[in-house]
Amino acid sequence: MTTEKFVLDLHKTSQRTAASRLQTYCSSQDVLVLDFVEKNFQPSYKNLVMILVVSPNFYQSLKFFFNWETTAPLVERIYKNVISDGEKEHLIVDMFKEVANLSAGHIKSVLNKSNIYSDISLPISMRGYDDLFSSKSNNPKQFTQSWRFEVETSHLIFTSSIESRANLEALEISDDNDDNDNSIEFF
Amino acid sequence: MIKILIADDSETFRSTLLSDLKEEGYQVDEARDGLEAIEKISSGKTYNLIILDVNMPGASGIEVLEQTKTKNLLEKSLVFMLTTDASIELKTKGKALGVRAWITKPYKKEILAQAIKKVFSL
Repeated sequence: MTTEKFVLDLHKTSQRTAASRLQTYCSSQDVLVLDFVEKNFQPSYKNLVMILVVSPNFYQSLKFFFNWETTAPLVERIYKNVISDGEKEHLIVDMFKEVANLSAGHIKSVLNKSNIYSDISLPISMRGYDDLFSSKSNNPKQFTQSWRFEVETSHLIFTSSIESRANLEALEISDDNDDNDNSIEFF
Repeated sequence: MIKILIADDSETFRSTLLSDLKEEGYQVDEARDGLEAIEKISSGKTYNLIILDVNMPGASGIEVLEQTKTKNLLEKSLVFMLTTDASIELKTKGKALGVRAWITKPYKKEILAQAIKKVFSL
């Protein structure tokens, strides 16, 4: 296993998980996932929700960049109703925080199954502009990949950024058999 | 009627869960985070079932259990964890604290409804 392979596998798992959790949580149609080149980042997203996955060997941030105006239809699917303008931004941010939490929780489980200890933060939200949000970095230990998610008429950017704290070559992600959870265990 | 307390910091998630449980005919109260859950459990109200998230501000679902169990406040309640975190370490902690079922988010309404019926023999 190489660092590049581990990073690529973790990025892929993260992208699949985020798209799947977004689709399930909003009961939406398929999420169209497009590769995204960050250098072409257009100044159009002013909301960010972020969550951290922290392991002894690396830090990972999962970021959702969006405009609440264009993603409001997603939260209206959850409430099965039109949301008033006064509530929209708060609820769409809340929705993305939960999607971030669902995604990070699943990634933690995948890492756990791969014998890689990790923990997750609470999700946080920010308002700002792309220059503030950008994860462009010259740090050779930081590996970032972004995708554009399109869901019906809504769109957003999802970014997975991994910063190594120790050697990643010994780490390997076991098969992520993502059944979208829904499991129940009685004690 | 079965009384249920749900504790989750996501308003959209609580709204969905509340609506699903009310449709099943249950009486539902809600807490916005771990601290509010502790307050409600400590207030003297009796809940037949408490459904807790793990990753919450103020106090995690596990901390809610630790703090209320030491005061013997959970003797009349069953506890479900409804969380993204399915790690064995946490499940073991939950089991030791008396959790009856561990449900991994995102949940399916039918699976949750069946679980409640099972533990209350409905």
